[in-house]
Amino acid sequence: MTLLSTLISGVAYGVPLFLVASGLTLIYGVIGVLNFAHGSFFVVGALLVTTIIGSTVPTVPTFIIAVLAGAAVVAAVGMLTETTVVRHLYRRDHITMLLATFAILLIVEGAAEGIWGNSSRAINKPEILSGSTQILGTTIPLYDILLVFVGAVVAIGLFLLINKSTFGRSVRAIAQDQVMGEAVGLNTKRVMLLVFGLGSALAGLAGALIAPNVSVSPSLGHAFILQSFAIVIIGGLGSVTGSLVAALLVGVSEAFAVAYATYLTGFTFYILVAVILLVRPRGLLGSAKLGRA
Amino acid sequence: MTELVVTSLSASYGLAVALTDVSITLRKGETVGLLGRNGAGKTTLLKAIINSTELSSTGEVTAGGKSIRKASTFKVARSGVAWVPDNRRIVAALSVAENLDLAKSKRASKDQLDRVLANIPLVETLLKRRGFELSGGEQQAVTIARALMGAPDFLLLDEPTEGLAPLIVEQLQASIARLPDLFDLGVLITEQNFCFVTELADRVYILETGQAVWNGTSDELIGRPDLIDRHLSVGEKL
Repeated sequence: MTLLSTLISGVAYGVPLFLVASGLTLIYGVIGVLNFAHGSFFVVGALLVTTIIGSTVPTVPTFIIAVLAGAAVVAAVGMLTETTVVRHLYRRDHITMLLATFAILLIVEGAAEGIWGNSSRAINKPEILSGSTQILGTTIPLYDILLVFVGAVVAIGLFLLINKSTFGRSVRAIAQDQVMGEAVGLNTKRVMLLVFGLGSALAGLAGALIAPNVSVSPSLGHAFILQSFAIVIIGGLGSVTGSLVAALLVGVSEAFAVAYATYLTGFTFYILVAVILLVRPRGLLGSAKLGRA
Repeated sequence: MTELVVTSLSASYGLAVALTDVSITLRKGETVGLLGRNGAGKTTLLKAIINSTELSSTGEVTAGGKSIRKASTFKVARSGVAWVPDNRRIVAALSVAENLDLAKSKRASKDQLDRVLANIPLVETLLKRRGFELSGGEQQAVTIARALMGAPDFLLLDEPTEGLAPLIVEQLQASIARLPDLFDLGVLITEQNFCFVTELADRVYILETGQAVWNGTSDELIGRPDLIDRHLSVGEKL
């Protein structure tokens, strides 16, 4: 593998991690909830896409619709979760919230097993995305380029949403002070519901995008959610930009480990977490609350 | 006449009763002061009016004849009752312009920002600065300006002089004195600063241990040193 292909492969690996971690950190930054159920939302997104696409070789429009449908359904599941469970626990301590979201994780995973079974599923990519292309004399898989493109679009979109929109202004105000937000006329319940939905949609999008590259089963989320929590810690709790930097760092480190130091494969993110916790315990860009994304 | 009417309002934090059977009125165009020692229930009364979720309350609160007692805090704000809390609570990560924009309301005319800036000129010079860059006095000016952005009928100011230098307190007093006429609203101020309130307020209520124990004009209160001794000072204990 050349340096360029390793780099792109690492970024492509980091994109789904960024999507999951940015949802986690967004929800934590605004609502103060570390959502254990996030991994199960990721899996539901992947499983939905396997159902929509089935064993066919999808066209690009079909694939896009399937991915967006996966994200949208997971957003709805997330919003239902916020309305029925999470909202009623905002004033409780962190332990209660962690236990509640862990219970949701078990319920969603159980429901997923009931609907899709325990066996692994695989889907095809659209034919046009199955090949590769040459960039600077290096062979790059087209699906990796798609993942990098989607990651860039989501990162820019989140930045603009949080920093440049009226909604983002409300989000940042509520992240700092919900009582004050209410007092100036912001409907904080609605904003928090939408943030939970957006965070969940990002998890669903990640699951849907990764589905063609992995064997999808209800337990797929376990490894991913662990790495995503690590990314949130490395990037800093509450920082979407921190999650982006950390996900790219983890993805590229892992790709370089695979290419040049195979004995470190699977351990790079543990090393990064340990180093960050030692050197900068609040993470690369962390402030524990969502300020500037 | 548009009034904010509080009738038999009681409030508690969990099991701790903080307010008992308090009734007050505030008309548009007037300034009313709430005086009392620490823990008398002044801040609790304002929080109960805006229906803060921190406490539970009974009684009735109407603004312009409509009950707001069971409305969410954001709906109370949108109905024209603005609250400026004691610790100011400016959004540190946002610029002053963004802080003002947060409170924009359908009630307000399109030129509300211009009106606010014209009448609190200090804020215009701060528009691009972030909340965390402001001094206490600047923050207080911005939070009052932010409250005015919603074109409220009633403005609730909780200890606006807290932590401010005497010179800034004087400037703040002059600024607040102009608000009822300039913005056609009623101002309800809680304060520890006796002179600040009596110079600004048309009428004053004294709260003690969660109850309204006296009300009258500022001049009447100034002429009643016995009341001041009994309810507001610590007498010879200090």
